[in-house]
Amino acid sequence: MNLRIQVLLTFALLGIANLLTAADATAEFDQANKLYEEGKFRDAAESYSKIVVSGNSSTPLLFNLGNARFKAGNIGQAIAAYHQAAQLSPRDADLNANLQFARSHVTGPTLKSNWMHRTVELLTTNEWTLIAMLPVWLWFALLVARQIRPELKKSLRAATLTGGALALFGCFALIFALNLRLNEKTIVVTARDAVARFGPFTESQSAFTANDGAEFRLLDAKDDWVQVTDGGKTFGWLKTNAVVLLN
Amino acid sequence: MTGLPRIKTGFTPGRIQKWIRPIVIVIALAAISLRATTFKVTLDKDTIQLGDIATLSLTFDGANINGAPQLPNLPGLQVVSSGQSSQLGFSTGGKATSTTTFSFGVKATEVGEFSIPSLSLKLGNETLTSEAVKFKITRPTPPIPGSDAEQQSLALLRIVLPKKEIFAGETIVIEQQLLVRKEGVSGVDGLDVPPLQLDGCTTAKAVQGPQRQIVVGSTPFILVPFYVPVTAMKTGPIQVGPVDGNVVVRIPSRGRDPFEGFGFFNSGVQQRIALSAPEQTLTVLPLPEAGKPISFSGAVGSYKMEVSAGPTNVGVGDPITIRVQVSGRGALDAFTLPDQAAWKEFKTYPPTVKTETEGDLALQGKKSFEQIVVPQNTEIKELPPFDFAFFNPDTRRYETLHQAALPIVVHPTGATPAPTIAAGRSAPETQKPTADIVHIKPRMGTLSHGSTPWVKQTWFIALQSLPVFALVGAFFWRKRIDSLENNPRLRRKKQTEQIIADGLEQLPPLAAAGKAGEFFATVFRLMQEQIGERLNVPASGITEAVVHDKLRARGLGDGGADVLHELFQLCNQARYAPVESAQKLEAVIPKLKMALRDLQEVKG
Repeated sequence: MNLRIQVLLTFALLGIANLLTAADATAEFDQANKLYEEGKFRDAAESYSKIVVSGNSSTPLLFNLGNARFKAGNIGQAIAAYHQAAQLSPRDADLNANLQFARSHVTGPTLKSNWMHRTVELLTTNEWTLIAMLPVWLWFALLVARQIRPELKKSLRAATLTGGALALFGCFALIFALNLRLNEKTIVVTARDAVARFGPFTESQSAFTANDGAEFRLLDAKDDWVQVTDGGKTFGWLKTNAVVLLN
Repeated sequence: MTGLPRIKTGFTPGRIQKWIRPIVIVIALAAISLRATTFKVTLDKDTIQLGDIATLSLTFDGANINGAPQLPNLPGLQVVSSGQSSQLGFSTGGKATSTTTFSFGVKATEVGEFSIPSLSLKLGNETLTSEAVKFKITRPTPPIPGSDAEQQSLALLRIVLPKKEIFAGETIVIEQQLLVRKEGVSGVDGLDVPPLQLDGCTTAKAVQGPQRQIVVGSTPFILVPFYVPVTAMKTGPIQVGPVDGNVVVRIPSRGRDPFEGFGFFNSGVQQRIALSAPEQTLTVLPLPEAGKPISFSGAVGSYKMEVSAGPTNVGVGDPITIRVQVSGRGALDAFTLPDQAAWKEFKTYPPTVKTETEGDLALQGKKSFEQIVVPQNTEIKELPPFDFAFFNPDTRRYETLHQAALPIVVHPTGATPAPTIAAGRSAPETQKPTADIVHIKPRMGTLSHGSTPWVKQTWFIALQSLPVFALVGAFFWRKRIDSLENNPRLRRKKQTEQIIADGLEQLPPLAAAGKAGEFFATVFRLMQEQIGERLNVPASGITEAVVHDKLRARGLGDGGADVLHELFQLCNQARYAPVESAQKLEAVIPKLKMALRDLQEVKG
C-alpha cells in the first residue's frame, strides 16, 4: 500500500476514534446532566467523574462536576473540580461565582489569598507564557533587523530598548507566575472535620480542625501526611486521604 | 507524645543495643607531643541504673594532649563529653610527667549487659590500645509500697491510672506523680522523665498540677502531679510504662552554711536519684454493638445538647439555620454531626463546626454545628426531631439526646433574607451572599486530553531557540558583509568567482549551439577576469602578453602558461576563422577550467 494512503488511513482512523470517544462522552455528559436535574447529585457526580477519569476534560464538564459534588454535600471535592476548571478558563464568571459560593460555606482556618495569587490566577499558564514570550520574540526580531539593515539602527533604537525592557519584564512575570503555579502547591480538605496535628503522627497533639473545603498551602510531605498552612500562623499535618492536591 | 518537663542533661533518646561487637577505633587528636605513654579507659561504675549517668574516663599518662579526642559513635550508647583535666609533675628520675583525663557521661535507656569496645589511638608511629570495658544496666527497683525503703527514698515516681478498664474513644487522665521527700531534700535541680509510651492511644501534652504534701507511711513528701490526657484509639490491653528517669535533688550540707536561711545561694550537695515506675496494664474495651443507636457518630463521654433553628417563617427555597450545640466531657474532635434520616424533605448543606475546649487539659467544652437546610415544598410544617447519641462510659451504655420537632411555616415563594453563614472567612459587608450556585452547563464544550503547560513541553522549549539562532546567524552574516566591504581584493575575488561560475555554466549551451563567436568571447572574458583579479588590474586591459610578463613571475607553471597561450590563440583565431564544430568547442571547456584553476593558484 502506498505510504501516503497508509498515513491518510491512520489519520482517518484516529479521527473516527476521537469522534466516537467524543460522542460517548457527550452521551455520558447528557446522562449526568439528567441525573443532576433529577436531584441525584451523587450519581451525577459519579457520571461526570467517569468522563474526567477517561482522560477528557472541559470547562463545562468540570463546572458541572463541581456543582454535582457541591449539591451532594462534598464542598472540598467541589472546590477541587472548580479549581481544575479554573485552570482551563480562569476568567469564567459563572465558574468564579460558584467557586466563591462554595468557599463561602467553608468555616475555620483556610488559605488567605493575596493579590499576587489573584493576579496570577487571572490567566492560564499558557497565557502567561504567551504574554511573556511575545515581547521576547519581538525584541529578537528587532535585533535581527538591526543586523540585516544597519541603516535602521538609529530609528530602531527606541523600539529595541522598549522591546528589551518588555522582554525582561515578561520573563520576570513568567518566572513569578510559574513559581506560584507550578511550585506552590495548594490542597483542599475533602473530609469532614479533619484534625490537623503538630506532627506527622496520629499520636501528635491536635493543632486545629480543618473543615471540608478548607484550602491550604502545601509545605511538606512525609509518608501519608502533608504539612499545610493557611498562609498565616496556622500550621499542621493532615492525613493525605483527607485532602486533594489542587495544582 | 509528650513527657514531663525536662531538665537538659545533654542526652537524646536512643536505642541501646546489647553486647556491642568489639571494634577498633582510631581517635584523631589535634596535636600530640609524644613521650612514653599509656592509655587507659575506665568507667566509674560496673553497674548503672537505668536513667542514671556513669562517667567514662580516657586517661593519657605521659602525653601532653592538646586537643579533645573525638570519640566515634558507639552504637547503642549515648556518650557526651563532660570536660578534661590535666596533672603535671615530676617522676623520681626528675623527668616531667603529664596526665590528661577526658571525661564523658554515658547513659543507657535499656537494661542489659553492655561493653565499650577496645579503643586504639595513634600517637605518631605508636598505636596505643585500651581494654574493653564491660558494665551492666539494671532497672532501679522501686521500693515496695508501704515499706521502710519507700519512706526512706529521697524521690519516687508513680503512675496512677484512674481506672483499669476504659472504652475505645474514651478519654482519661493518667497522673504521673513525682514525690520528693520533704525532710533531707532542700530542692529539685533537674528532672528527666521520658514521655509515656502508649501504643494505640493519642496522648496530649502533660500539664503540671499544683504541688501538695502527702504522707507516705509516716514520712511527709511533696507531690508534684503531671496530668496526661489519653484517648484510647484501639481495643485490647495497653501497657502503661514502665517509666524510668532521674531527678537531681539538692541535699543540705552537713556543715553549717552561713548563707542558709537567706535563700541567696543554692547551698547543699546535688544528688541524682534514679526513678522507676512499674508497668501497668490498661484494658481498652470495644464499644458494645448491642443497643447502638442509628444517630451514634462516635461520641464517647457525657454530653448535653441544645438545638435552635431560625427563621421559622420562610418561603420555599429559603434557608433555615439549625444550630446544634453539644457540650460536655469527652473527645470533642472525635465525633461529627450525625446524619438525620428524617430530613429528606429538605435540601441540606454540610454543617459548619466550631469547637471550644475548657481548661488546660481540654477535657470538656462545647462543639457547635450550624447546618443550613432548605425546605422544598409548602407541605412542610415542622423541622423533624433531631437525635444525638453518645456512649457514656460511666453508665456503660448508649444515651440519646432528643430534640422534638420544631414547627415552621413555609410560604410558596421565598421572601425571607438568607441567613449569614457562621464564622469562616471574612467577606466585605457590602457583598451579599449568592442564593445558590450557577446552574449546570447543558453542553460539554470542546474536550481536551491532558493539559501539560507549554513551558513543560520540549517542542516549545526548542522553539524558543529559534530567535536566538536567527540573531546569531544575522550577526555572522553582517560580519561577513562588513569584512567584504572593507576588503576590495576579497570582494573582487568573490565577484570573479561568481562571474566565472556563471560563465562556465553558459559555455556548454553555447558550444552545443555552435555559437563559436559568443563561446570564445566568453572564454576570453573569463580569462581576463581571472587574470585581472590575480594581478589586481582592470580585466579589460588583459592581453596574452601578461602571461610572460607578470604571471610567470608570480609562479605560473609552464603547463599552465602553455594552456593559456593555446586558449588565447584559439580566441584570436576564432575572430578570423570561427570553429563551428560543437565537439571542438566542448573540448575547449576542460582546458579553460584547468587554466582557471592554475591561475587561481598564482600569487595575488
